[in-house]
Amino acid sequence: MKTRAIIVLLFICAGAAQAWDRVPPEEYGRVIIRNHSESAGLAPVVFDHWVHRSRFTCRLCHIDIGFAMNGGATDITATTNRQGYYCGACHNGKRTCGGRKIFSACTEVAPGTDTAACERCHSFGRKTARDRDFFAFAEKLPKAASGNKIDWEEAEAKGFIRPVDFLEGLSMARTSLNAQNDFTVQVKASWIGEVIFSHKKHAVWNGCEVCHPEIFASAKKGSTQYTMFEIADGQYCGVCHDKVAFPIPSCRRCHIKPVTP
Amino acid sequence: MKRTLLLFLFACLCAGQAAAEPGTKKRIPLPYDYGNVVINNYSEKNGLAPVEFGHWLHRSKFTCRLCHVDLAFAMKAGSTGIKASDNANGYYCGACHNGQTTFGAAKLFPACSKTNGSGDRKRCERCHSVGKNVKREYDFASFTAKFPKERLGNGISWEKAEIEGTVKPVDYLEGISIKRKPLAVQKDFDLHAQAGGMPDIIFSHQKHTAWNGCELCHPDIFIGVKKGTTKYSMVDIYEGKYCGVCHSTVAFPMLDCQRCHAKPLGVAQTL
Repeated sequence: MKTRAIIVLLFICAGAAQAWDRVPPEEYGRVIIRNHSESAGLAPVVFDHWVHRSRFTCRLCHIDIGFAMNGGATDITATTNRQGYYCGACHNGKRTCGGRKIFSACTEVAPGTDTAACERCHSFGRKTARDRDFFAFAEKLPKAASGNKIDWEEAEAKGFIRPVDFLEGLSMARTSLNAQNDFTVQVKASWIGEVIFSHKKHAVWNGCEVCHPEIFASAKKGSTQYTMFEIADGQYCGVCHDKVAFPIPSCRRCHIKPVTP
Repeated sequence: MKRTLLLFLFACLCAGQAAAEPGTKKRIPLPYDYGNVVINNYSEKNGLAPVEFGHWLHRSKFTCRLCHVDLAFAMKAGSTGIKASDNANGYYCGACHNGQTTFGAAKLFPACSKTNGSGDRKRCERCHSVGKNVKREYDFASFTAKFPKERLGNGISWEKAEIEGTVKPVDYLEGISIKRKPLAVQKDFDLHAQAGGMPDIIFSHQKHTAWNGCELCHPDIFIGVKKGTTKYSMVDIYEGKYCGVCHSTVAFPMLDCQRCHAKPLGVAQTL
């Protein structure tokens, strides 16, 4: 039992080295999208989650706009953006955010004429100056130990950021459902406390439908069984945690209950 | 110890295949792709591209009942086992796509006719179009521009479109359908949600029968019409059974919780 626990711990630490130590805070949650870029003679797209999650809920993009939750799995093309899907749902040169018009993604230009516009997103390996500076932004926000080193939960709860959850013409208003109660997720190991899962903290960003029914099929407690191996592999909690939401090695942020002897 | 090592190795092996595993989240299909079915029982074996069937175009013109009861299409992709000879003999696609049936002013092109030779590949590709970059006669964006909008699925409120008369789906096919006296539409009823705090479902027979008649759902999918006879859970539905036969494949997806879970909670339930 003890050896098994140690190996699990080592495995988690190996994940930590990848997800935590090696990625600077401004790069945490970064997605490189290269499905079609290079074959079209463009650099891959560098998508920074932090800019977008500071202004919009996860639900808005991953449900109403329909982005997958695995890098590259959405298979975005210039055409879909021009048709007003995916990036093009907001980046259409018409929508505004914070009083500013949002630049349009993948406009039809003769090759080589407006590379500066393309390189706002197709910036992998280029030294593109960004509109918003991570450090200037992060400075004013509550701090966390890992990930972006921003406590997004507190930042939202205290009103430092107010992520928008509704997009005119795409989202539909629905009566909100009751936030479900917090509950305890049992653990198999004896050396770590049980998880207290807060529906409320998750629903602020995700509504119900980011997680149910695709990631957790049933809302009935205990019907979906999963292990730390699967989570570290990007399934269940790992769909978000370790990629965009705080990393898995922040053990005690989930395993809150004291260890009972 | 050995077991742990094996488990560890297995986990490493799995790492590259996250997309195919449960507990992950795929992209949501684009409005013009939602409900499309790829049919490839015999196509590639016969040197043709698989068929891409667009539900949105067909459901804008015909009821679900007409094709899934009168024409007898199954409701699971690939399980109808359509053959070129079936079509040429006037079954399945060939019931309408026979070069004779007219719809509006236009004659419907024949599907898989017996005389179909290699010189007529262009016509084959009207349906056998997967990976062929075929320009469609109907463009989704312009065709549905004036349709009432909804979130998810095709981005269209088909329910509203039918009620408002934007679409008038045909429910009768000369020579195949037989007129029957309509039965009285059953009343709406509530389905109790098991999860605490989740609103009950208001099931509307009327909204469903406009498209499905009685016989699409009864008795195959829901055997008894006596309330409570068929027991099912969200897990069953999510696996494509019961409501999930249509919802999440063609009808609006299950992500839209409140469209079914619509009954306001009583005072006791909200506490």
